[in-house]
Amino acid sequence: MSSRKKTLLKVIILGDSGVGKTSLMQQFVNNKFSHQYKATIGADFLTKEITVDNNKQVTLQIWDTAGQERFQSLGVAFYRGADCCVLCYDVTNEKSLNNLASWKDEFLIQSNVLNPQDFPFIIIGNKIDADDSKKIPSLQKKLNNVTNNQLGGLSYPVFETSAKESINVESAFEVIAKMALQQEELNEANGNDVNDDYNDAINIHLETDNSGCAC
Amino acid sequence: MATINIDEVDGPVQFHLQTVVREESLEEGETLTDVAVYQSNLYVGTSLGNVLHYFRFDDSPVYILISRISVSSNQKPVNKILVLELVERALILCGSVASVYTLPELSPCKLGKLKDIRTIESLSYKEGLQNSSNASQKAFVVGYNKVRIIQIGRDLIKLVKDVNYNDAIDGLSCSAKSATAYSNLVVVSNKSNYDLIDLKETRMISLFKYKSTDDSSIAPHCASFTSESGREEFLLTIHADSSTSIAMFVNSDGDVTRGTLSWVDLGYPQSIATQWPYVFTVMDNSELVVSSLQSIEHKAQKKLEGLRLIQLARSVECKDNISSSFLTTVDVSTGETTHCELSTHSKVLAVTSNELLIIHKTDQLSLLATQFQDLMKQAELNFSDLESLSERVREHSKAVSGSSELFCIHLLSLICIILKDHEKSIEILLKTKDDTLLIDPQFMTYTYKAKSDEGYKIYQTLKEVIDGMDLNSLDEQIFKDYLLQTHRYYLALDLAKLTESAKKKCCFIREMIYTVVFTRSDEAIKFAKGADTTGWTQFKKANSKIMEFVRQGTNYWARIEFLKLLGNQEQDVLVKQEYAVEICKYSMMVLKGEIVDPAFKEEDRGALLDTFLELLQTSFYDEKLYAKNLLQFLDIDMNKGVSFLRSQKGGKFKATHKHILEEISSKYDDKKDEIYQLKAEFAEASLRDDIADISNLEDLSTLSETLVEIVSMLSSRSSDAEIMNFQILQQTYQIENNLETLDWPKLTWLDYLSANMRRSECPEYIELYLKAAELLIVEFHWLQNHEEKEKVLTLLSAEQYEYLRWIISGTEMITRLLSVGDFSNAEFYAKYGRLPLQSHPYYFEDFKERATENSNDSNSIKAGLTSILDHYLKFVLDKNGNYSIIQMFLQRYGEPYFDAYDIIRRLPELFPVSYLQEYLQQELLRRVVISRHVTSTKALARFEVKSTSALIQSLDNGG
Ligand SMILES: Nc1nc2c(ncn2[C@@H]2O[C@H](COP(=O)(O)OP(=O)(O)OP(=O)(O)O)[C@@H](O)[C@H]2O)c(=O)[nH]1
Ligand SMILES: [Mg+2]
Repeated sequence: MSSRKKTLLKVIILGDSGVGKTSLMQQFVNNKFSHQYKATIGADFLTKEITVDNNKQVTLQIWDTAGQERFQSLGVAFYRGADCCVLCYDVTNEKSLNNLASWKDEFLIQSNVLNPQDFPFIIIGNKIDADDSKKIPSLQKKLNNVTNNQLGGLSYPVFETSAKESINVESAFEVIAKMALQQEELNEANGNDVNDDYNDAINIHLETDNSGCAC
Repeated sequence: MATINIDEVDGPVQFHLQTVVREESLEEGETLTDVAVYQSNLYVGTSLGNVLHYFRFDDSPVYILISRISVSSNQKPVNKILVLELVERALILCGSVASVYTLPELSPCKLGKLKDIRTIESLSYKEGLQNSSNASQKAFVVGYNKVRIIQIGRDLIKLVKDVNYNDAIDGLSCSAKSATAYSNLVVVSNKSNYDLIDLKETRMISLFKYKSTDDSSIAPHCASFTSESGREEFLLTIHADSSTSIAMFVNSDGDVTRGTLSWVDLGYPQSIATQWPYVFTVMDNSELVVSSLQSIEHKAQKKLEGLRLIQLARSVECKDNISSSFLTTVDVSTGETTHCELSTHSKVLAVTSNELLIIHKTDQLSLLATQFQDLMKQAELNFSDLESLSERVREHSKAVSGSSELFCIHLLSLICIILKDHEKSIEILLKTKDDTLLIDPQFMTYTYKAKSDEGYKIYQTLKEVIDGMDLNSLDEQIFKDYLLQTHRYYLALDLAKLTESAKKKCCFIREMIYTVVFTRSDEAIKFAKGADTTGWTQFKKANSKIMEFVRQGTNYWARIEFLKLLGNQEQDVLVKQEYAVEICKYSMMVLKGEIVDPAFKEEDRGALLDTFLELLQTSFYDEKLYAKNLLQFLDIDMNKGVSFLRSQKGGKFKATHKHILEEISSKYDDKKDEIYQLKAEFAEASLRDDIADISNLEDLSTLSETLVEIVSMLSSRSSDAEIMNFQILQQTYQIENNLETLDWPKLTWLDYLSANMRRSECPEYIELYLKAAELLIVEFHWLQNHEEKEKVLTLLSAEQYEYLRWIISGTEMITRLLSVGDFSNAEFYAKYGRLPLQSHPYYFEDFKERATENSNDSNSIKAGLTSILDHYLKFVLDKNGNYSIIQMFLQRYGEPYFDAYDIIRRLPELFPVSYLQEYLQQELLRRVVISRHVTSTKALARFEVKSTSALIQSLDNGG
């Protein structure tokens, strides 16, 4: 495979509406933050070049998806070919934490990845700048609960960030990039090109009737 | 007509909806449904099963309905017209039934019908397939529960493959990849989903749902486009909720290629079409939305009721009304307009119930021109905007050709002129293509409100701007330099290769230069004689206009010089003279100060006078006109006039010159000498001509008058020094030429003068004297013409002219000649009764012999010679002169005029006989041999007495 393909890493950010997915991406890529909430419709992506493992140049293609439910059916199109999935919740919103598992499941179903157990996920709890009073009470306990019971007990990296104050955003994406690169290399080694046409295609029934046409 | 404006970073973009056809002949309730293009044919389906066939003829700007074909027996709507150009067939889907028709006339092919069909699409094929294909083309048909590939030949349809696909609604072929002739991939949709089907492998990849409800009114829309990377992409619309919808972008791998495009609060698209880099959608609420495929943003929207978009497989081409309108030209004199046609094309159409519109990107030309108009409407000129506009116009002009380029160049030049950008203006104005200037010089003259010829057509829009401009706001120098540089351009071209129109333009430029650039005579003259020298001869048509202009003004000097240039090249002598008359007239007025040319300076007078004289010499044929002008000239500058006259001595118009001299000699007293001399010179010149013409001296007609002139002139010389010198010469002659010296023949007085003239102090005087003498001799002695005698005598009354007076009177010539010592002439006169000319005469060299033609009768000769002999003898005796004088005289005249007896009788007693020896010997010999006359004998007897013995001895021997 060409080196260009090697270094393009596709990252998907999932999570409930309003948790700050768009904000995280904007902070990471453009160092911008807006207080105004504008729900993402559909999906959009930004790219950023970073260096991983001190020497490896990669291009991160970060897909920011809509958290709103009405757009969830589109998932499949965006998920295909992802190298890493970021599951996002809002540290002030307990429901968003509880929904992480369903985002993960949705992703695995739609994206049709080959080895779901090994696929790299990362968890980000955003808005840690918020007043402690607003934060989910006994967050750590609840988070452990979610990872152990709902996310299959797998130890996904967890980051607590603030898109607003730019806390941990950079380091979270560094880890994301590393994980994505590993996944990409793994796929490579297995001879599975995510860009191969129709690795998720289904055979459809064929009707042969070559005897002229008078339908 | 509607326009949609979009602001892009690299300038505004405008889309324009323009009617292609409006159909008035539809039945009630009948609406337009689908459209297809084939060459110049346009097929429009209707909701009642008709296909309207339009055609655009090459020379027509519009599509004309040529036929109306019913393709449905039960008035089912025409849902799709699929053109299969490879086989020249059309597949028309009416309701759910498709049939094949021929192209272009749409007659039905009896190949059976395809039923239960949602839609039909051609299967993309590789460009160039036409050539290799054996006249068949593939299409894919979306049936209710299957997608099938069919192959259509000219005369048959074959089913190639069937793929089951439940509840199919729509489909679109991906473009063929390089490996295959036909595409194997199609994007299809069913009642809820978009899918990608690989027809070859019979595989399907599910893309995504386009709606989450069961609302059957929400239809899938799929449009394809080719992106900046050259790769095909599909835009698929998705209904999110009642107010919002989005579009996803995927490639033929099913991969998402861009972020989503969303229509928030706009509902769901009803129809869609793409034209890179834009997508057009008509929404539920009748908004036409234009979004960028690059930035995934909405760029513009406009409410347009009842519009449905149709994406064409091939572009429809039609006249671009807006751009064309900018190319409309108007005749500056008649106001008559001429229209020009620019065409446009687009694959995006819109239909209303009865109208078909093209949505095309407004030609950059229109945008630029409109922006220019807008900028010019502002109260205060915005230079920086104009400047950036000029850059864009320049860029655009490079990208286009033909009439668009021409318009842009004109627009650009006008902007540069308004910006007073000297260098750029000129650069553009002088742009050429195929050796022709792109911009007609009249464009500039119109802009600078100078002049424009009948028939010049200018762009109407530019004219309107120009008409509104204030001339004072323009830089006149640009205009002037333009004219000069254009002039230089034309004059550097090979004349033989110039077209008539180019010549005409150059003439126009010349005319303008003289009327606009060089407004002072001196500048204009310098140009005319310098850079424009060839202009006057090679681009003559302008000359008359230049003259017309200069004649109206006060640049008299220029008028004179131009007329001279015209005169120089004129072949017709009468016209040439007309010019000369005009030149002389105005020169005269300028020189006299009657009219004033501000550029004409005192130091230019000389040149003007010379011009005048040059013309007098070269351009006059009518003697009266000549005389009149010459007299006027003399009035102004006598000195130059007189030298001119002198230079004309040998030329034509002698009579006039003499006449004029006559006239002026009385008028100008202070110039008397000079005029006399001139008159004399003229008379002399005529005489010389006269002499050259005749063979008989009697035929001379000009001798008398010349004589009078020369004598007058001589007599008018009254310088004391000259007279004194002359008198000294007279005395010297008498001394040097006396009888004491024995050299013979003696110089005549006239030859003496001639010989000493150069050495003397008064050569001119002597020359005149000699000339007078020569003429007098011929007139009075040779021709015996005494007409002017009194006059001449009066003129020569002064003392020093005694000799000349003698010539005139002709009496006592011998005595008189002897008295001044002119012995030779005395002897000559005795012999011939007239004087000879000097040895080197001034006029009558060829007639010199005339002097000796007839001699006197011998008695007269003898009488004359006798008196001369007496004079000599007297000298010998009184002054103790040398006897040789007598001896020599006798040698000359002794025989036949004297006999020995006479001689001896006259000689004094003492005269030594030896001096007579030779004479007597001859005399004796003659007598002995020829006749022994008594007289001789007597004489001999007498002689014997006196002679010496030696003499006798010799006689003895002789006898
Ligand atoms: N205080 C604080 N507010 C944040 C932070 N990140 C995002 N927000 C705010 O949260 C709101 C939602 O943020 P978005 O980034 O638009 O959320 P989203 O996850 O993209 O939402 P959807 O697009 O609807 O899925 C905005 O008003 C942001 O200003 C953060 O780190 N701290
Ligand atoms: Mg968002």
